[in-house]
Amino acid sequence: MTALAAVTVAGASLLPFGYLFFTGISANEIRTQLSYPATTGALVQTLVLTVLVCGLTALLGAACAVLVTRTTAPVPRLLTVLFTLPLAVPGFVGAYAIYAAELVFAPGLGVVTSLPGAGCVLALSLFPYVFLPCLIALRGVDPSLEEVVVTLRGSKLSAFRAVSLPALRPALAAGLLIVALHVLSEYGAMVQLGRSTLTTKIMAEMIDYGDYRSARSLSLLLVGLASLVLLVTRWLAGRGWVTDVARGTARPPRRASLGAWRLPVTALALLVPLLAVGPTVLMTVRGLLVRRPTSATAWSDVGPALSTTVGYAVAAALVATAVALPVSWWVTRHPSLPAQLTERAVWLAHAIPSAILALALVFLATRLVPALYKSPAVLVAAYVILFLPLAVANQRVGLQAVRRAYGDVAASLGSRPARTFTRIHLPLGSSGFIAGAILVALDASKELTATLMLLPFNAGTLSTKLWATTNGESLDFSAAAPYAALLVLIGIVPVYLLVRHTLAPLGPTQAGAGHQADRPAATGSGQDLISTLSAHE
Amino acid sequence: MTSSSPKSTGGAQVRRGRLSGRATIAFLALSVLALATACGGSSPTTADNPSTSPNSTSTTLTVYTDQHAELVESLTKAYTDATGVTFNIQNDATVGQIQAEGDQAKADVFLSEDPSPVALLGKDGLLAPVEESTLQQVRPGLSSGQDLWVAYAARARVLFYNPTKVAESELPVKLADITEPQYKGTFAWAPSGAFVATTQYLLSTWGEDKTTSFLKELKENGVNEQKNGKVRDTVEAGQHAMGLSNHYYWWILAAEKGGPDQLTSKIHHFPTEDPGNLVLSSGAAVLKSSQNAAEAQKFLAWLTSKDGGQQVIAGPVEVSGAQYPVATGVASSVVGDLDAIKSPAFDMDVLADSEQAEELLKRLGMSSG
Repeated sequence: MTALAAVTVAGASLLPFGYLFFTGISANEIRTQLSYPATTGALVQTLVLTVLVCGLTALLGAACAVLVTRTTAPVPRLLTVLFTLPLAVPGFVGAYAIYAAELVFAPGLGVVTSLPGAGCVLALSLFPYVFLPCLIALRGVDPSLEEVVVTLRGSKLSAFRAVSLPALRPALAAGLLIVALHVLSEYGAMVQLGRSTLTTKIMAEMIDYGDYRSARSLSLLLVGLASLVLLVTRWLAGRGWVTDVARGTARPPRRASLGAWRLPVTALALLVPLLAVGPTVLMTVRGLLVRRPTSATAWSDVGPALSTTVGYAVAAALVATAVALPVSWWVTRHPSLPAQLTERAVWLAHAIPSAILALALVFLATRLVPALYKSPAVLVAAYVILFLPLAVANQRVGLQAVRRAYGDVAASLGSRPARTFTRIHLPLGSSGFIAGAILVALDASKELTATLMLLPFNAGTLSTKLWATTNGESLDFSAAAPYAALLVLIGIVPVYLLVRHTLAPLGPTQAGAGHQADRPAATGSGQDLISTLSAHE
Repeated sequence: MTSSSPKSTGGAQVRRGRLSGRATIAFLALSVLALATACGGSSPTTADNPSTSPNSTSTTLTVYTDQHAELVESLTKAYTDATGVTFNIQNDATVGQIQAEGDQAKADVFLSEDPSPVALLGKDGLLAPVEESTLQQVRPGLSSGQDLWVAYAARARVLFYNPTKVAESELPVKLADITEPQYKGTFAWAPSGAFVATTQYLLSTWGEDKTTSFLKELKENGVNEQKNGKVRDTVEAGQHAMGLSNHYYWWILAAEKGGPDQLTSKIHHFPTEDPGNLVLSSGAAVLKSSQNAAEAQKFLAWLTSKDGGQQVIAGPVEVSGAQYPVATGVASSVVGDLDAIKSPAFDMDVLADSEQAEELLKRLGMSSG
């Protein structure tokens, strides 16, 4: 039952790829495209940027997580919120803000639009995706394990290497997967940063040259790259896991004293969120202050856009949560090859440019459910397909945090699997469910490309309204300011909820989540018991 | 002992059913609520409000457009005020979306920014011819040669320059001069649609060899800033002395900054008839599949008429985006009369069918994206 539902979900999320094949792609087209120097250049740049941004986000994400969980840096909670804040800023807004800020305050510098500069800008906006899982993993590490290593080897550093670093691996893999796929499919920010990637080439074929066949063919190449990312991150996650050692009470890991470095290190760390969201806040506030009376944006327009945005985001989060469940449940409880493949398949749709996905949905909706085309249902479906992986990934973490023993105990007391699920896994794994839903809502509220195409006529979300103020290919921050301000402000709510959730007091069941983020803590008998039980489903 | 065990399992089963059932109902209720909010959020704007229109025609035209949202909003609002006809607007529309919709195509009218989308739709056989009287209202040479679309606005290719970096007297006299050695590294360009159109024009007048060597030299001499807006911004910031772009980018920035005198950079039109002054149309077309063809044709007639849409396009930057009106006898209150631009004459449909230019630019590594 679960398997059938999971496969159905994965199949549905792969449906857009049917469009790629159905409407025609050709290897010839790809070959012709690759004969152009700019396309091969774009391909190389895509790879370089992906590697660069992954490297930077891994460093930033892990370092910030260590700082917050393992050192005596002041106000760790506030720091956590600040490190997560970049998630509230849509990619194209942040990129244009920093570009505009450079033009205003340091014209002629050209740092932001250079390859390393663009890499840094992207990394600053994406590193929370690595920071959050690292934070969870580090908090979950059982301090007694590190203490054991310290007594054996006498070095705190080697204790960290032996215990916490392996725990970080799956967290890094999970975060980097999201980061890499974001870099691959990013359009708006790349354009603002003057970078040429496979996705900007695909969009140019569509928008500038009206050559959809080439666009679809190049998309296939992008799918290839995404598959590579899926393989590499799977390898990065590793096969080893820390066995859940029995312990009575959970306690937070020890913190290393920063001593005299406490303030300088914190100041340096504060630079990260400052650089990430500072330009957006600066340009938005500046835009609000210098607003001319002629600025077309009326605050009265903002209200409907806000409620539309929130409505769609919440709907997408709820549907994605429900739909992700069979996939995450199946892959957590029965990590067989089919289950793993199903889980990986869900990620593929995350990697193609959302404009291609939207076109595919236009194609499918007008043929399968013509009455629903241009209705909210299709847009919500698009959000669900796009952001389903975020829900699946977080639900997995949540479900894996639930000790198998609890399920076994419930089963031995005669509880059926479904009841065990609603009484044990759902409540204990809820943090993963909620985190997934929040991330889906957050990303849906920022989405632009698919929204533009599938939004019901005359409706507007904050993103599309903000986009509509772009004049002369650049954001006019005086007209866009109200929308930008609101987008960031409503983004702060889920970010805060997310952080509060992540920092919830450690319970015995939550500790250890990080160890097994990609691997169940299976004990032989438990595994068998669960399989026997679910055979009844 | 053995008999009590199944009983208790049974009891658990019943309770489980009730519990998860309740959870499911709660979840579904929440989902429906959220969806309702989503629909509700959009409805105030979606609802065509016949009660507020002067006469109560219930016609609604669906307009697909890639033109600046503000201009389309100004135009459709003015038409609604005048006739009561309301609009469904798809912004950032692409030919691809219309193709993907197939038989379910929604659009009655397409309003393009560059000539190529309407030309492409025409080539695909998706357009119905525009009424002759409508075409007559517009200056000759700007609309489709096959009467498949009508020009309703126009933009001109220009050279921006920053007087702190280069004196007006030192500017190139014609576009072809920009490849001269003294301009090396001093100017920006962008591989925009208008740049493709310029290339296509050069191909048809200069031939492939001369165009190819010109483009190679231009690439060598200049800096690719990817987007026309960036060409403007970087010239204004003094990063480049000059930049090839479209006229209205400069006027939009001027309006944002509080007037043309607030900008450092200036606009240069080449003094004689020159490919550097190319004028490109924004086109309006009626889709063959339209169920409201008659109403759609009426809208196009209004859009191109001296006292209708052209007045909106002649208006201030905030509504017109500083485009040139194209009806005979109408000049822009911002940028003046289109006749002042010394653009060479050419067939707009030929220019928009720019596959040859695109191929050449891609081969030279000068394509967009």
